[in-house]
Amino acid sequence: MKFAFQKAGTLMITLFIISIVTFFAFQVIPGDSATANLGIDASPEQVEALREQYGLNKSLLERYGEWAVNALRGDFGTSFSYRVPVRTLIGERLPVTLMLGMTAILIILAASAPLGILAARWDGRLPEKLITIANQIGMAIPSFFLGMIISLVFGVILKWFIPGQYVGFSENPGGFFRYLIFPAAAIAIPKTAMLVKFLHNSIVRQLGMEYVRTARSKGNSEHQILYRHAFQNALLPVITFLAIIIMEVLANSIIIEQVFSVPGMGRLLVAAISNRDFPVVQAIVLYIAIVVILLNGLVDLLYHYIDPRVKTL
Amino acid sequence: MQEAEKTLLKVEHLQIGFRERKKMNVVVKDVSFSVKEGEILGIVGESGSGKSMTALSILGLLSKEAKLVNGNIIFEDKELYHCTKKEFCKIRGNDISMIFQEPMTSLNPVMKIGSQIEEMLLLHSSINETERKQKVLDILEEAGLQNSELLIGKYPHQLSGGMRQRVMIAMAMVMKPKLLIADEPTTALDVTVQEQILKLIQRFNKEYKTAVIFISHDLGIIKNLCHRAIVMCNGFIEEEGSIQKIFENPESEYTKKLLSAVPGRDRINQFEQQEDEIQAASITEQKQALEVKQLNGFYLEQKNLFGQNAKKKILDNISFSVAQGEIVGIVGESGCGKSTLAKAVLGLLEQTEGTIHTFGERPAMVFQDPFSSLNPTKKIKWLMEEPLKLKGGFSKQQRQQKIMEMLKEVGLEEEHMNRYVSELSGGQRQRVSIACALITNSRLVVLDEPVSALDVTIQAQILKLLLKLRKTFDLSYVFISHDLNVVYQMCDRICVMYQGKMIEIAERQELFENPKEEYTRKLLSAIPWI
Repeated sequence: MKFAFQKAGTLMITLFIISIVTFFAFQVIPGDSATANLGIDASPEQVEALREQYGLNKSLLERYGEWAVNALRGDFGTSFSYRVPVRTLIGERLPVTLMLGMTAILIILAASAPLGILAARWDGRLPEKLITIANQIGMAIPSFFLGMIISLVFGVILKWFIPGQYVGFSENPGGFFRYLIFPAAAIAIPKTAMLVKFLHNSIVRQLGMEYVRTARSKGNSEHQILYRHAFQNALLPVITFLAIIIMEVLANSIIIEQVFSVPGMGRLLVAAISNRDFPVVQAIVLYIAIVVILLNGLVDLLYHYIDPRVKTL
Repeated sequence: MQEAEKTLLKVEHLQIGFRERKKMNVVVKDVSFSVKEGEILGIVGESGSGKSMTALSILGLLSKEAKLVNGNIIFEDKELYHCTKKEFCKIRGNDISMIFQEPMTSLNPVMKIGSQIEEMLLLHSSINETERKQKVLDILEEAGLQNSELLIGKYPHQLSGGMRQRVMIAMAMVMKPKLLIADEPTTALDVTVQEQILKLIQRFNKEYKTAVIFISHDLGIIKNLCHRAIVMCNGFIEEEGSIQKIFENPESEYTKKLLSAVPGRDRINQFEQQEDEIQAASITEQKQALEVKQLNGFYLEQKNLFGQNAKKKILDNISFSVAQGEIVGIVGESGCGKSTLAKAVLGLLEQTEGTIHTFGERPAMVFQDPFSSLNPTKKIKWLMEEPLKLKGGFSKQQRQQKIMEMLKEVGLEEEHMNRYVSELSGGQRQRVSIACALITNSRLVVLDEPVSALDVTIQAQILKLLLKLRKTFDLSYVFISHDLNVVYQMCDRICVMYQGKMIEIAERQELFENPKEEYTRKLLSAIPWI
């Protein structure tokens, strides 16, 4: 309980600092949202009117105060370029990105656990060597390039899906997932390779530990040693690594959404930055920060659950 | 030995090697022995003798890199290495079980104590859950652990070292095996705890007629515990026989050398004479080298989120002094504060009250582990030059000169100067540590367990070197050790520490013959003397 309070406290402080940094950072970046919106042909009067409308003429502190108070209520203002509330914009796109990210994470987990265990069990033998070679290739290919290859092979040649022809969830849930699986795979494959390698090494390290020798001396079979003793211990470092991977999945989805024309947060962010659409950018940065902090908190909680030694804090 | 006793285990022409690149580096060369039902067989030897490899090979527990090259291991007419995997798993834990040196790392850190013991019953019996639980509780009680009901829900890190080893023994004994292999099971434990663990092993041996193979580097333990012993050296058996024969009438030269290297009460004579001279000299001068008065020492503990610190008292009102040329021993069990005291004397402890007065030069320090306390990326020359550079005032040539002199003093050659730490043996490394400590002319040296990580023959050489250096440079030592045998051999006066307090200070002879405190008596009676 005390632990949860401490975490919540840190979360608040971190969010506060991030909100200040994002807010002021965008005030320093050159470029004016009013001119960016109206184009260079706009008359000074038009620009002035728009600045007045968005409240860009008020002092910095005043604007931060207003923004922060509204943000706490979940109101991030109105998008400069789309002319709709930021909340609505994000509300439409967040589920898409979340689904994409979660599908990618599911693929990563489902593929890396058995492959990592397989590599550890056959360490130094043919299966492990094949997996290691596949890993090297998987890690070396960047996500966006993999996305292009997938589009080409599965979209253009095999015609399993139509590249760029995004299917919305409300129109056709089945089609939505059938489309999403390809960008998710493009994100997941390099990360799976990393996680397999990490899990493989972690299990092999655990198998060399003294408690494994004890387990063997008790009469456990190799199978029992792996699942009853080594695996849980091997998971501990993997959890931290997994959190890093999930954050990278988030970052990669921004690029992959471009490649596959998925209307998610990533595409929104890219468009918002080039349009100097600050309210949108600020909201997305804050959202990413919250996800990262929550993930870290989750990792700590998981540690508490799996490793009894952490509980003596 | 009676003829009626049946042979339980037979090891024939055992040969074990490590694969190194394409060559096989043979570590156990040719070892044959047998264990009879119900006997305790000791295997004694120094590090690298192959004793642990021999023990591990019996249950097929050698690491991946090691390989059984040759030999048969026959347990009750069954050739273990010809068994199927399934048959071997049935023997492990059920007929032959094993306990190890480090109970902390040998137990699964994320599994409850109860489940770890219960696993044995799951593997080797078909009794139901309630029966299993009762058996686990019973064996824990038998292993001398109270509150077993509470204990089964705990994790290994929540127990003390002695309790963990008891849990290991309970686990190994729960199936009442015919043979227990114990690989240095008390080396990581304090001497009073060691005594209890040895008694426990003895009791199980008597009650259940469980034969024991006891591997140790400690001749005292072997003598007090075992019926028969094997002395191993460099992968061969040097000598085999009854305890009486090996300790009273050893045949092999190596056994004799090993026995004479063990510090003990009757061994003091070989040093006695030269010590008397020094003592006489120091007493007439009576110059102080170190004076500690009413010293309290603390560690800061991070208490809560808001950074309020709590002080934890580690040293409690400590007063003692060291005369010039004197060796003062500080003994006590782990956690008694002896290493903290060393830190305080060197001025490395931040939170202190009271006075520490060192007369003359800054005291120097020699640490326990010469493997980790010397920087592995530097050459010996650099390591020895550093203290001189820090002190300042020496030209490059003077430093070179001093390094060469000091190397000679500690028994090393000039060529060692350009080596890395990893290229030296344990004994040589500790010589380098000593040279580094003495090179700035410190007269007072704090030695924190300087020989604990070394084999007994190397230990004897280092102790001799320390005595020689004391004579040459008129040094004073604060000699910290958990090993009362070593302290007895080295020190003029001995301080006994217990829970941060100095409970007894006395001349060596006085302390060993006429201890005043109850705790000192307990400590002394726990030592396995030769």
